[in-house]
Amino acid sequence: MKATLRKSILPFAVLFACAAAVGIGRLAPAAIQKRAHVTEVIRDVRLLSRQMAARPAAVNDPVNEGTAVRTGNDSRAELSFADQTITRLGANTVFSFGAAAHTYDLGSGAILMTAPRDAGTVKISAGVATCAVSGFTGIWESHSKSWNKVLILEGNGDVWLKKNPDDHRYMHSGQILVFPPNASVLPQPQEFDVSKMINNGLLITGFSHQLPSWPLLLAECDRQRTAPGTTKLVDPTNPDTVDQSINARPMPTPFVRPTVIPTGGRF
Amino acid sequence: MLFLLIPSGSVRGQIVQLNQIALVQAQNQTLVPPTAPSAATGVNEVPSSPNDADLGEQQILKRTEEYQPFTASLSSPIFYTSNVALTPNNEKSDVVIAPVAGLYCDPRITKSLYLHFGAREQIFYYGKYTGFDFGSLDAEAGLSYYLPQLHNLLLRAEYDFNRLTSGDQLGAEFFSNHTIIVDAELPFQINRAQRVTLGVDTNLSLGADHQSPRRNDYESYLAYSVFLTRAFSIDAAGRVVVRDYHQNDRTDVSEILSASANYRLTNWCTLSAISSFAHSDSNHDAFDYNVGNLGGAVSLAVKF
Repeated sequence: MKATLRKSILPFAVLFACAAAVGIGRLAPAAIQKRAHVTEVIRDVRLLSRQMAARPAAVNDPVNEGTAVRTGNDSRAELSFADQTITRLGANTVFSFGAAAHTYDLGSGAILMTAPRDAGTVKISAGVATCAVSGFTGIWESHSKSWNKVLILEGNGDVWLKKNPDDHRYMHSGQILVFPPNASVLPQPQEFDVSKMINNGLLITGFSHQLPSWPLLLAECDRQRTAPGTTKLVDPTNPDTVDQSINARPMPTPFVRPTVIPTGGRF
Repeated sequence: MLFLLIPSGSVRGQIVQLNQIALVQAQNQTLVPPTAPSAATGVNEVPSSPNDADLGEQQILKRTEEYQPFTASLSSPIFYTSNVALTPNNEKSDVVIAPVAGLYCDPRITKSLYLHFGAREQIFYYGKYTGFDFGSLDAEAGLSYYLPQLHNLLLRAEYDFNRLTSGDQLGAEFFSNHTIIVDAELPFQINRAQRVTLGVDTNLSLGADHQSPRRNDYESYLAYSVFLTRAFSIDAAGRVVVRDYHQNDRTDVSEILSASANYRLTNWCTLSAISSFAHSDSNHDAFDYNVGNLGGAVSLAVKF
């Protein structure tokens, strides 16, 4: 009896164990992702939290949800998350993240974010606009009294205004969106030259190490420069067609075509 | 010896444009070569903002023209051929005029996926041996897909209906063939003006009328193109084609070299010097041949 019971329970136990493992696996990234470390500090970078006064940031400092990072003039910082998402902050920037998974907030200034594909969809709130992206490298700039910009260097994204959430702009690699802080409708994205940007933008070049997505950025530059054609090469003397025509002729050609002699045939 | 290879229809235009871009950029190299606007693009600067130094230079590549999927082309090659009947001996030479008219449509489905529809008719008029005159009609439909993450690998699959007719009489068909063409092509940009392309393709006959000329082609090719000035380019290609006939246990191996020197007079008109050389070996000696072609062409192409 006990043996029968054990036999009938065993498959359910295995299934439950598998489901639990999958569930934990899915939850784990969300849990660990919301903790970052400062991986680079250039000049004036400060951590602001509700619990304590602003303090200068140092490399390896942990940054938790609810903590804002602020940079000063000519200053930059880099944060690395456990899920390999990297955020770089430009000058005069305020950046934070809350409890919701994969949600970030750019208070003002400029950030570059890059996330691997398996990090899932990332939601970035930048002033008057929100952006959802996955597997990407992008730059966001937000100001209350100046132009706002979203640039997707590689990957795909979806952007909408908070006051007009039904009007989305789908963006892909090499596209930029520029709009004023009081915009009520987003313009259409435009193509921009990725290679010029990655050659001199401090969010790319102003740090001690390269972005992990650097090869993808180079590939995007290459794509912009050398997008291939879509139809095949053709020789106007068309030797293949002439060859087919000669072989398909119903009548003997106007002058002598050699007779095919079977192998081993003799005159 | 001068050989020829030019791309058909819209792609020729794209390659020309890309190479022009490359040439213009040659004077102003930075760490990663920038994408300068082509003839079909204009330049717009993005309005400045407080973090411009962090973002870097933002140059819009603004398209002044929408993507134009249709291409109408008309070309008239005229060339000397050393072996009219493609025979191993008793070769006869002649002059061939081979006007070709084509209409192509390449609707873009996504950034990297294109549909392709096309129809073209080419008629070969021989100067002395008019009995060889024939027409070739192609109707084709397919898909092109390229993978930027794999070095811009280009994959194509296409159905092609080919119909050969006697002279310019469209009703006098002497051969028709239904084929599936599968092609993979890998471009290598050597520098801003030069490109090498490696490719393989197969041309599988699904059905034909008649059977004895029916064949499958298996081809590999290597092509090179260089822009020497904004308007002058040279293209060259080498191909090896195995033609496996469905009947008579016949297999031919053809090695074809081709090249062209092209001068673009306007956006829609190009003058070319053209040439090709083919050496074909068959397991039936009677089908061996060598042939050389040398001449010129005027090509007109309009996109809309």
